[in-house]
Amino acid sequence: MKALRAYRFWGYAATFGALWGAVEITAGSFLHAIKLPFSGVVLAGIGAALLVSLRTLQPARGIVLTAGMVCAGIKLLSPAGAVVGPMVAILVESMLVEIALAPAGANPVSGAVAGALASFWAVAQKLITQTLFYGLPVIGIYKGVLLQGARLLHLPASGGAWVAGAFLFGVALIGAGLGVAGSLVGATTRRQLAVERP
Amino acid sequence: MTFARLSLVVAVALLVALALLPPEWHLPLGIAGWALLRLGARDVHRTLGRPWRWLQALAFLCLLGAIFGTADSHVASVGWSKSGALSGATMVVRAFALVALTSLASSVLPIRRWTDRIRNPVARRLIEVVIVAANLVPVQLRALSTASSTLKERRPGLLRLPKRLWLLAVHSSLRAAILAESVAFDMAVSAHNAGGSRKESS
Repeated sequence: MKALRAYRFWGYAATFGALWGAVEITAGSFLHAIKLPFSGVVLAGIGAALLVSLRTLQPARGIVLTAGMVCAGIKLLSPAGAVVGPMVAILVESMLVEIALAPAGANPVSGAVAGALASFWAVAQKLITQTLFYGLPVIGIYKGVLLQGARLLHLPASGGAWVAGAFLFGVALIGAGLGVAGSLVGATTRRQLAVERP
Repeated sequence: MTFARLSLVVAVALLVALALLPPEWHLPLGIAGWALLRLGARDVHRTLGRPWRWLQALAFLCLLGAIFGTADSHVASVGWSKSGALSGATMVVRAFALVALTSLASSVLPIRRWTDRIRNPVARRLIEVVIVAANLVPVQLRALSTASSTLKERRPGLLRLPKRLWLLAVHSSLRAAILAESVAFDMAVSAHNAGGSRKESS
């Protein structure tokens, strides 16, 4: 019985990792095709929702990180050109979700925190990658955009901090909403499974 | 010359040129480097991104640099930054050189050979699970696509989109959970059979 529980851990990690990979392919291509702004944030939020749902169904420590490793492994085996960036994103996001869900397990509150953290990482990784590839002038450009935004919106002089704060708040809201949705999906699925397997 | 060698030579040459030559030279050199890789390596579009995307990045960064940089030039009595626009071009050429280097590194690293050498039981199990999961991706993709089309037929319209998305999420999660149970059962059975055959052979 104990052995079957261990196999169940790997089974859930495999299927949810594969589901995450499938969602990355379908939703990722769709969001990029319609050129939705911040599609990376939405994708990170969807990934976090999936992981929160997994943790609700299988409340085992480490399962979220394992599913992330499985999804990153799938990405590594895929014939797509750029794999390093998405792999790093998947691994870090699953690590952040694992940390957020560690103290109290999966519930709407921890789900919201997990979703927000994953979405923040999507923004941070974009900034880090752009700084690494394009160099430090990128930071100057973003500063200029923030200052221009503050001027256009007639906000008090704060070096663009208000615009940055509002942007990050929006990102957190998207991630948290998707994280809560993931927790609710997990709870509904668990109820459905109990009905099918009395 | 192989793609790996060519991309290494072009990337290093571009990075050296960026460090040594004035900004006016960076864009022509970047275009020359890109053309060399484009003509010299057939699969360049797959690993280095589409040409159109590079062009978009170039236009966007030059525009931002021209607007937000120090105003050192005037066109039609509007002040703009020539040095900013040039630094946008430098940024794109630098990014292209670095992408060529990283794609070279990821194509040269013998990841499959490294994974074959791993003997740790947990790591080996993880690799087996990754292979199982990679085979499950097409199954999950088909299931997602079928469920999405069925829901679209049964609940058409934009107003019903949130409900459709909710049902799709619950359906996918439920399907993944049922699939996980059967994968776990298969793994347990194959481990049991492997144990039995080991006993028989000994």
